[in-house]
Amino acid sequence: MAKAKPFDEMHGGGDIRHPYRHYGAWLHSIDVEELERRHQAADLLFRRLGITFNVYGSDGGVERLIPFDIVPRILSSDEWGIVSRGVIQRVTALNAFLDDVYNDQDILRAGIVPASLILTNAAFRPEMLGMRVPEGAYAHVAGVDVVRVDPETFYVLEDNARTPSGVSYMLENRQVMMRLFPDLFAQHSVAPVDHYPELLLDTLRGVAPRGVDDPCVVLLTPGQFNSAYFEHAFLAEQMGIDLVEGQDLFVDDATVYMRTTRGPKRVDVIYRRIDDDFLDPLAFNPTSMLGVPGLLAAYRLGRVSVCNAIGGGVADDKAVYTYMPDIIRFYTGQEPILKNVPTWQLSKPDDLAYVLEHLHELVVKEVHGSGGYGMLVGPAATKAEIEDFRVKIKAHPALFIAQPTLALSTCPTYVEGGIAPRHVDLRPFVLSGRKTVVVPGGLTRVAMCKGSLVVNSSQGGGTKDTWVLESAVREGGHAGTRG
Amino acid sequence: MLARAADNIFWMARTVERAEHIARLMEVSMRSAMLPASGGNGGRLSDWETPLYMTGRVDDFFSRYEKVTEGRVLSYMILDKHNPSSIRSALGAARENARAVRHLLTSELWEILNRTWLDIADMTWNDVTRIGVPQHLEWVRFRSHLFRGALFGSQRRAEGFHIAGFGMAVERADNTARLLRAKWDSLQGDATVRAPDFYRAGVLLETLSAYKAYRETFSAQLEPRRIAELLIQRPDVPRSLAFCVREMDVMLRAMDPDSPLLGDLGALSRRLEGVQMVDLVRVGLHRFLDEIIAEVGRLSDRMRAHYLMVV
Repeated sequence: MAKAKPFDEMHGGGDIRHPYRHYGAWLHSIDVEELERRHQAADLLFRRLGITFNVYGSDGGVERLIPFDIVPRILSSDEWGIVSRGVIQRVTALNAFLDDVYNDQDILRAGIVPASLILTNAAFRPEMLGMRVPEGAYAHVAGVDVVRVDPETFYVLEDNARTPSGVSYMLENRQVMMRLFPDLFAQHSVAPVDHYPELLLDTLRGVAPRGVDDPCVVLLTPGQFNSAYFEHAFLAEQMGIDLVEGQDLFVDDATVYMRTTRGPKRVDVIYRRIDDDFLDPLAFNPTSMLGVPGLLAAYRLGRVSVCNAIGGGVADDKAVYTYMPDIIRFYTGQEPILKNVPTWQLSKPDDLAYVLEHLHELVVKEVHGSGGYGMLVGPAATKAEIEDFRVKIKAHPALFIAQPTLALSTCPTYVEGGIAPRHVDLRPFVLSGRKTVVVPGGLTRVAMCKGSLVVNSSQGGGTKDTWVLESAVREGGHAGTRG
Repeated sequence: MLARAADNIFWMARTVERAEHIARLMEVSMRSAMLPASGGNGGRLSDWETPLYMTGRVDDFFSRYEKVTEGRVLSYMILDKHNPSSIRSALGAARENARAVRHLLTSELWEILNRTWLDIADMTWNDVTRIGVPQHLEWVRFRSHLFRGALFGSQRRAEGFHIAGFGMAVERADNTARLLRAKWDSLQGDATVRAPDFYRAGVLLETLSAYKAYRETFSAQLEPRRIAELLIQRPDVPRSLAFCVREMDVMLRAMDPDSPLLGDLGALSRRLEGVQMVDLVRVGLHRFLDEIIAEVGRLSDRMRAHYLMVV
């Protein structure tokens, strides 16, 4: 339940908390005009570099800048240790779960997760049954949304196992911060994140079809009008791979080729940033202009690798989310390190009745929604909004889940007129191939409006650079072994 | 390289070159319009109608405006969002094409196109007149120089570079041929006096950055025959047809030494070299330039069909 005062990452109970001790002193020594100057400089840098995202359904200036906040979010290496071990544990379990539901289905037989929830799920792809993907990796790139409510407690809000975005902001935010505040980086030992593209390329090459020594990896984008196009281009550039659209690829004799200036060239690994539905008009949505006809057949024959794997959405479904603690125990034999938010399934009559009575204090989400669209934040909603939602829920209860409103931690944020606390979350990016790794950091999203709990960029949220302070020894990132 | 990406690069380069050409065209029009009309105009197009004919925008222009005036043509050719041939549209297209392949461009190259676009995207006609139209046109020309400088100074000498160079040369050849064709009659001056129009000739050369080149090459009075020779045959003048065709050949050869298009390019090059200026001036330059324009267009189409998979 929302408490009177949420936990603040910098001020905690009153005194400045340890990870912020140098930064806090610096922040207090600098005047507001100087902050404003650096804020403007950051804005200009982002605009010149063309780091923009496209907003769906808004006209006029279609390309927008994501508001960038110049105050970093700082985690100690111990705090990061909890988060990184937690997300690696979680993604390891997610991959094992996907491998299981598309093959042996032990977890369904054991009755841990109801078979009907999986087999009738819209994100479940029967086409994937009986297929063994390289390294047993399905969610090659997962963005796990973590929030914090007190010094020790981290919750996972969502596991994004389809095509999570935002990693380019993690990288560009760091570049911009290093240009604006070189002095602060000299004072702090901030763990680097810029090797992410290398790790990603390594992950993608590591899951190439068997027998391919020097795989040709491409990034498949829906095109330059997609909201995350900047990120697609950025990652392709950083990895030195081709950025392709569906029209650039074709399948011949169960082999995928791209059209180059010198004729067809074989493609071995596709890092796709297109949803399952649009990947192959022969297998899925027949009207899709974005996909590649025949891709699924080539994939099933193991002639090409698709990352993230097709059908992974069944693991990050909001209804499956409820079972994550049991899923983690089942595959890893360990207790979950990160907590799950208690969740009411509105398909269950008891849960539905409770939620309808407590709409004003709960968060209600669509099961298949994402990006903060179609979401009700009870404590912040008007009476009319709540009543609207009540009608929607009653019409299709199974499409919704509800959760208590968590008191997300706040972080000092530069707003007009000075520094004020704003709610934040954290999305670390976990890579799974031959092993499962995470770079120290992630994307901190911040709700720029006072009191708001919605951090999504499509809803006016901003981002911050995330600093993980290194303990004495530098390490290249926490690695876990897949098993 | 991905064929579609190569096509984006090709058009990126062409549209920057086109923006520069429109700026030069507006400069030549403004300066010619300041000169007294020679010999009562004799049914020729006015200095402000010429750019509309050259870019094929006459019908569109007259569907919106009744009369051709200097201010209307300038704002139509510089800023108009609905005119695909305006400088603003060309720079917007250049930036959109660059955005599609920004991962293949150096950051300098991308930032130049992005900033140029951001500067002109929201500009109003009031802004342009406040800066001054000539100053604004000069700015466009200089942005194009900057783009070229970054392309030659920072981009790796690989397919992308050569395709950009080829695209630039194609566009420039087309532009020079069209400009010379459009201005040719006005250079002949007053038929009764049989003297060339020195002022218009000077303006044309200056707009093509070729005035000094003329003086150095001929050290003689301005004569239409020699102007034609300079802009058609001299391979050392960067906006001449001979230069552009040689550039196309250099870029294509670097990209693909066995390119089947090299034969056609050689033929075009020999045609430019072999033509006798005296004959050309006598029988009419227009037909010759029309043929050259068509041949350059065919070469561009063949290049796109062969390498950029455009069908």
